[in-house]
Amino acid sequence: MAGPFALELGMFDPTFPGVTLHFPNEATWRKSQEVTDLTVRLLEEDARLKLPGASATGPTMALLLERFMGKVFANPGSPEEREAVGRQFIASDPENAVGNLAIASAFAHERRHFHDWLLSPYAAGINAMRSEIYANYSYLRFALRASGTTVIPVPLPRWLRKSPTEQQELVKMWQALLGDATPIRLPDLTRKDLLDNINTIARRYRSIGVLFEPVGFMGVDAAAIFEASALLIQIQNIHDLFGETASNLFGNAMANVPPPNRYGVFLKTMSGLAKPGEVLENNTLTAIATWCLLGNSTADNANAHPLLRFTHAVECVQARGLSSFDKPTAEIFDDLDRMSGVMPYRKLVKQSIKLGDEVVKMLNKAAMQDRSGSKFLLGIAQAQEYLHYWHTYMARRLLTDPDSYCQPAAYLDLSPGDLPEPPLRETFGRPFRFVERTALGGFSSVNLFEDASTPEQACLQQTIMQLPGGVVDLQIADNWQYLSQLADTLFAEYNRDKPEIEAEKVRALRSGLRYLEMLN
Amino acid sequence: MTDPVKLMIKINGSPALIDDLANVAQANASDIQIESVGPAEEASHLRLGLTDVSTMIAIVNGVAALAQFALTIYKHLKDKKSEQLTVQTPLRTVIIVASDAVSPERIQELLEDSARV
Repeated sequence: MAGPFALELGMFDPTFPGVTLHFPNEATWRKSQEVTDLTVRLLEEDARLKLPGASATGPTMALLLERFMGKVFANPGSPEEREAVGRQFIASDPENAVGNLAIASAFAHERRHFHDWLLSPYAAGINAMRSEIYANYSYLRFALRASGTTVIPVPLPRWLRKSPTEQQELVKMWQALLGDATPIRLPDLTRKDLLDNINTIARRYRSIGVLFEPVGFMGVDAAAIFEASALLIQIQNIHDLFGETASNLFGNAMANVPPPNRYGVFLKTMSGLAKPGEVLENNTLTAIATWCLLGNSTADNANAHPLLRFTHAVECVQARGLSSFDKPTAEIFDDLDRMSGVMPYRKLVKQSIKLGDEVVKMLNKAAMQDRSGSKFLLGIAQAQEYLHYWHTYMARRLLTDPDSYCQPAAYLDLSPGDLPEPPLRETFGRPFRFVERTALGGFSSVNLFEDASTPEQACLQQTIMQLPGGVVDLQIADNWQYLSQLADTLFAEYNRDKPEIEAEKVRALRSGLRYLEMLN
Repeated sequence: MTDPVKLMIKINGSPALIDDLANVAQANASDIQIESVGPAEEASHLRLGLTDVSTMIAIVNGVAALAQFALTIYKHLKDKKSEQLTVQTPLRTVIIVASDAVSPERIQELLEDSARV
C-alpha cells in the first residue's frame, strides 16, 4: 500500500497566515481533484437523499461549502449513513484508501494548525522573533543592493562562514555557470554594522530553528506535537464525514507508521501508556496535546519546548494512568501543571499577551520614528499587531472555554465566526495549472508563471482565496508572506527546499538580482 | 574543446536512494565528484515525510553528467522505494515526486531543469 502521506499536499507554513495546499506536479493536483470530486459526489448523493430542503438537482455549492468549511464540517447523517458513505469511499480505491482519506480531510488538519499557531504562546514567541528579524532586515536591505549588486549568495550566514579562498572558488564556479553576460557583483559585506546585523538575524533564526531540530530518543522535532493536535482533529473530521470504519483505518495507519515520523509519535506513545481496558479518548489526548503547545519561552523557558512538555505529560500519565485524565479540559491542564511543576497555563497565556502588547508597541514606535519615507517598518508593525490581535483572541477564548477548543467534536461544530477562518493558499511547483485570464477575478490574489502564460491563458503559481467566514486581512497576510519569503531566502539555514524560497528567487530575478544557493 | 562547466548539486532523498546515487557517482568518478554523503543536517520540508532523509552533495562536470543519475532515480520512484526527492543547485530547487517517474528521460529533463540559467 502506498504510504498514507505519499501525497503530502497540506503543510502548515507559519510564513503565511492561512492554510496552504502545495501541488508539486500535475499528477498530484489531478489526484487531489479526483479525491475531492469523489468526496463531493458521495456527500452530494447523500445530501440529496437525506437533507430536507435539498433540491431535486442536488444541493447548492453554498450547501457543500457549508458542509466542508462552515458550521458543521461533517456529514449530518446518522452514524449508519456516515458509515455507508465511508465504506463507498474506501471501496472506490481500497489500496490507497488511507492516502485518499488524508487528502479528503487535509483542510481540517491544516485549519487546526492555523488555530494552534495563533493560540500557542510558543508560536507567538516565534512570530515576535520573526518581526524582529524583519525589522533588522529593514536596515540592511538597501546596503545589500547598493553599488549594482547582481548576485547575493544565500543563505548569507553560510556565505559569511566561508574563507576568502572558498568564496573565490565559488564565485569562479558560479561565473562559469552564468556566463560572461552576467557579471557577478556581490554586496559589500565588510561594514561591521552590517555584519553585526546579519549575525543578530542568524541568531534569531537559530532560535526559531529549534522547532525543527530532532530531540532526544524519539528522533522527532517539536512540530510532532503540532502534528498530533492536527491529526486528532483530522481523525474526528474523518469520523464525522465517513464514519467509524474510516476513522479507525486512518488513525491506526497513522499510529503505526514506523519511526521516526512526526505524525504518529504522540498517538503511539499515548497508546503505549494505556493500561488494558483503557480507551484512548480523543478529548483527553487533544487536551494533552494542546497543553504541550502552551509553553512560553519568555515566562518559563525551561519548560517551553513542546516536546519537553510532552515528556512531562508522559510522566504524569505514567504516574496516574490515562483514564484519570478523562475530565474537563481545565482540570486536565491544572493537573498537568501541578504534577509537572511548570508555570500554570493561565499565567503563561496572560504573560504571552502582555509580551505581545509590548512587542507591538515597540514596533509601532520604530515605524513612527522611521524617517526613511519607506513603509517597510510600518508594514511589519501592522502585520505583528494583527497576528497579536488574533493570538490574544484565541488565548482569551481558551481561558474562558477550553473544552470547545480541546474536544474535537465540539471544536468542529463551532459556529462560523467563533474561530478565525483561514484563507486558502494553493501553490503549484511547476507551470501546469492553466486557467482563462477572465477567471482570475475569482481569486483574492494570484501569482503567475509569467513565462508560461499567454494573453488568453494564465499559468498559476499561487492563488489565495478567502473562504466563507474568512477574517484574515489578505493585505496583512500578503505583507507577512512577503516579509517571510524575503528574509527566509536571505537568512534561513533550514527548509531551503520550500517552494516559497524558489518563488522569491524568481521574483528577484525579474528585477535583475540573482540569489545563488550555498549548498554546503 | 572547452571543459564543461562544473556544477554543484545537492540531492535530499531517502537513504536508500542516496546510497545508490553515491554508487553511481563512484562508478562515474571522472564526471561526478562526491563532496559529502550522509544524513541530512538541516531541517527540511522533506522531513514532513515518513522516513529519514539523507543528503549527497557532488560536483558534476557539466549538466549532461546529471543523466548518470536519471535512471537510478527513475527506478526508485517507479518501484515506490522513494516517494520524493529534492534537487538543489545554486540556481534553483526542483522537487521530483513519484508521479514524475513516467520515463528516465523525464527525470533527466527535471534534473537538467535544476541547472537552467
